[in-house]
Amino acid sequence: MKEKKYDVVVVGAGPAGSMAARAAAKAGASVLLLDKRRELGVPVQCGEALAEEPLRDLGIEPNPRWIAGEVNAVRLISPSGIEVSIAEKSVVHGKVGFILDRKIFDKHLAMLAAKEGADVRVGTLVDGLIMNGKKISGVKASSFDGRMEVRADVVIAADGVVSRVARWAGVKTALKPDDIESCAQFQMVGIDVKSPKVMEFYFGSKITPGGYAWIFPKGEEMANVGIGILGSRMQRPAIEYLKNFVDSRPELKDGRVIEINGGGVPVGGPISKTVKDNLLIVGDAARQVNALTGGGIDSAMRAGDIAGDVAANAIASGDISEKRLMEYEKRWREQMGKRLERYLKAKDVLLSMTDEELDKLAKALQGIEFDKISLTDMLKVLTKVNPKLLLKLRGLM
Amino acid sequence: MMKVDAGVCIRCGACASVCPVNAIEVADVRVQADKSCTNCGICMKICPVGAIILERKKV
Repeated sequence: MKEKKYDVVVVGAGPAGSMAARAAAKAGASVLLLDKRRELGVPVQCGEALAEEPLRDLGIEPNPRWIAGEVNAVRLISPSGIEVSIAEKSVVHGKVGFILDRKIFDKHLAMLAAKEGADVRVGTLVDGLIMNGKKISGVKASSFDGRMEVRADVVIAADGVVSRVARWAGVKTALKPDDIESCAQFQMVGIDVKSPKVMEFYFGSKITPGGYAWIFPKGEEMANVGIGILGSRMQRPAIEYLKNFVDSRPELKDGRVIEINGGGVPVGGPISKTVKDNLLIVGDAARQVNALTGGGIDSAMRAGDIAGDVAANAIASGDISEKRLMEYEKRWREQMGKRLERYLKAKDVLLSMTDEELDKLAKALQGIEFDKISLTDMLKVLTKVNPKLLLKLRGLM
Repeated sequence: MMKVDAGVCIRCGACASVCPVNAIEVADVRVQADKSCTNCGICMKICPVGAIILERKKV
């Protein structure tokens, strides 16, 4: 049995964990970043879309090595096929964002953590907590070179949707079928990507009950084609719905699938408390996800950055009480709490709408030029064009 | 006890995220439940690729 001691141990090297490790190391803490996977970024569990803004805010230079596609517009397709296009005009360089190559991106973020001095160990499965009375004092792990115990002043749980570390610590993170989208995705080649700069979202209770299907282009011949089904509305595995969707699209049906991936996306809103004793919970593990879109990279990176910074500064000040560490909770809620709440409400409205209502909404939005993709702007337009629909949407204003 | 078809499983962890008793471990190469599995079937329902079956515990 190997024993090690660090200021901060981070469990999980996805975007949340690597940003936490980077921030903690940068602020002077000794940091160990652990991941069970032998290769970071694999398997891919997401649509890989990310806005440009969080990268800029976090000082990460976009790198062509992990950008598979750049997109500048969004197209929403209603159940009966009515298209609503939204182009982003007011963003620097006219970009909405990127379709990433997570296999490279995640490694890049871990490298940024390592550059700040964090130790990184992959192929290392955390299988329990070290407890000192009621306090968490580290993690137990196993890897190719045996078992180890890592003691740490602060543990950061960034172990994704599975969120076992938080559960061992007594935080209830188990998802109910209403609060999870079961997602399947094909990376497809040999397809006809008509608009390589446009992200497409398809809605409808038949093709994708309680969720949406997406086509995110990676250049002109390749795309992530995926589907999310609300757990409580699934009748078959998500991949079956995805196969039907692909077969129904002429531009896709002759394509070849070069990768199958998927995952569970938490869409029930963040957990009520993300700090417990000397444990900080970040990213998907804390359910810090945009419930409307299912996007979580942005909030995971921002929350991870805050968590790492708070942990290191608390340790340096000699006070790692829960009260001191609650600064993490306060800061991330200030930065994105309200936004995540609104998306959660918007999701509930979307889920309550029938296919007919979605078609009506699409018709009302058709032909309107949006300067910026913002929920508020869309709602403002709606108040003018369809007051009846507004009754349902009122909770969002 | 839930059993996973390793040939179908994509190791995404959706099953573990909904398990009410935290019985499922998603390791790098395999996914398995421990004895606390109650055969409730939520994991099977949520699995995006249909990789999970339930086996009755042997008496």
